[in-house]
Amino acid sequence: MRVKLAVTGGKGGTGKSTVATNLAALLARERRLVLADLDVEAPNDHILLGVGLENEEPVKIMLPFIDYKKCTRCGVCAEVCDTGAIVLTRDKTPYVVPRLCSGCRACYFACPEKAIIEGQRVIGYTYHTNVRLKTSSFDLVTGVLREGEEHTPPVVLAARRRAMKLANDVLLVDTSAGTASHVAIALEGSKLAVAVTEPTPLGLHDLEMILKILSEQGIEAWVVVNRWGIGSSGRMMDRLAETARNYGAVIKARIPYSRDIVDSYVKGVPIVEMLPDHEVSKVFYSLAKEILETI
Amino acid sequence: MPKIAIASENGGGLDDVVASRFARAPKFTIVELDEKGNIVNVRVIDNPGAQATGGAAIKAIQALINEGVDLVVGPAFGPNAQAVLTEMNIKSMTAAAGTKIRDIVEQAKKELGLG
Repeated sequence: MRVKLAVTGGKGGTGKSTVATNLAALLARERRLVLADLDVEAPNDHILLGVGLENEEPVKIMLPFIDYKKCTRCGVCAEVCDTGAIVLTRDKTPYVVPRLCSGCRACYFACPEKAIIEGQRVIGYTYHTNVRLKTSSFDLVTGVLREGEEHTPPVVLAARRRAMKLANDVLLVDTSAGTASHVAIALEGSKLAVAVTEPTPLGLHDLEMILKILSEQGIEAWVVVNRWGIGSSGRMMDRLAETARNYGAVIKARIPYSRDIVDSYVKGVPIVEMLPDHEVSKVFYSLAKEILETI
Repeated sequence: MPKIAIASENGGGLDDVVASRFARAPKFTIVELDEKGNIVNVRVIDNPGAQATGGAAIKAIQALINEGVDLVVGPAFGPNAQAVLTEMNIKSMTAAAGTKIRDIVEQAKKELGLG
């Protein structure tokens, strides 16, 4: 991998995946690209690209089993368990709650009787799909957290690793919303992050949070304001620009609010492919061009 | 003797009310009954889950297991809480947040087949 780029943004529903898939389509015209959908709680790049999830591989984490013949009911395993996944009965017999276990192995190492048996549990899957568009093709790696599971980081890591193994030129990651640890894991090592936001108070608030993370990680941030034109966009723009400035970031593009994006969404074709002359597509062209010049 | 733990909204006790959340309730009112269902003792314990950063329900239940309660009363129980209560053979009963704890005891007796 020569360079890693990221699409993130803080607030949910600002159009991260729309930006990621359109940029992927354009960047792949010039470079060999792997797009990694690391929004493992709700991955949808494959939907926007109109492809399926293929080449499934399970993501497993360690799950402790107790050897009750060896267990002396000392309670150490529950004491060291950070996620509360080990409950003790009144006589201190440990009981494991699989869904709460993060697979950290603390109990395994702490047990003085070596009564913890290492088992495994599937918490998600990774996929690899070859995406063939009219004007470009690239590899899509997708991480999917199993429904009901709450330990996101191992799945993000597994998908990231799989994507990095495939990528020998450009890796573009699409993160989930928010600023959780798994977003930082997805962003790690990026040269540049496109922070997608919208001209709303919440868009502003969450943009500031993600810019803080990016500046702490030493990642250059380019702000893209999506849904330009809604509400009081003009008034919000000054505040977005000020926030960006405070974190050494710049506003690189505004994507006008357009129903045609929704159309492209529904059809599963990036708008740069579906309507190449559209004003929205033009924004993506110039953004992609600037990214290519930078990397 | 049967023991009931009720998630309590404020300082706990028979005059307090059922908390709006089980795992984050500040106190548990522990009511001990005799075999006929008469109240023989009322105590209040802190809920270690109230201030926990994660796994609050499990921390709360661990304290109740240590107390040896037979029935837990709360406004609702999440999937983790319910799974552990079932596994630990502890009965659970839901009661609307804000219900007087004194009134809960009557319902709890029926749940335990007493009185």
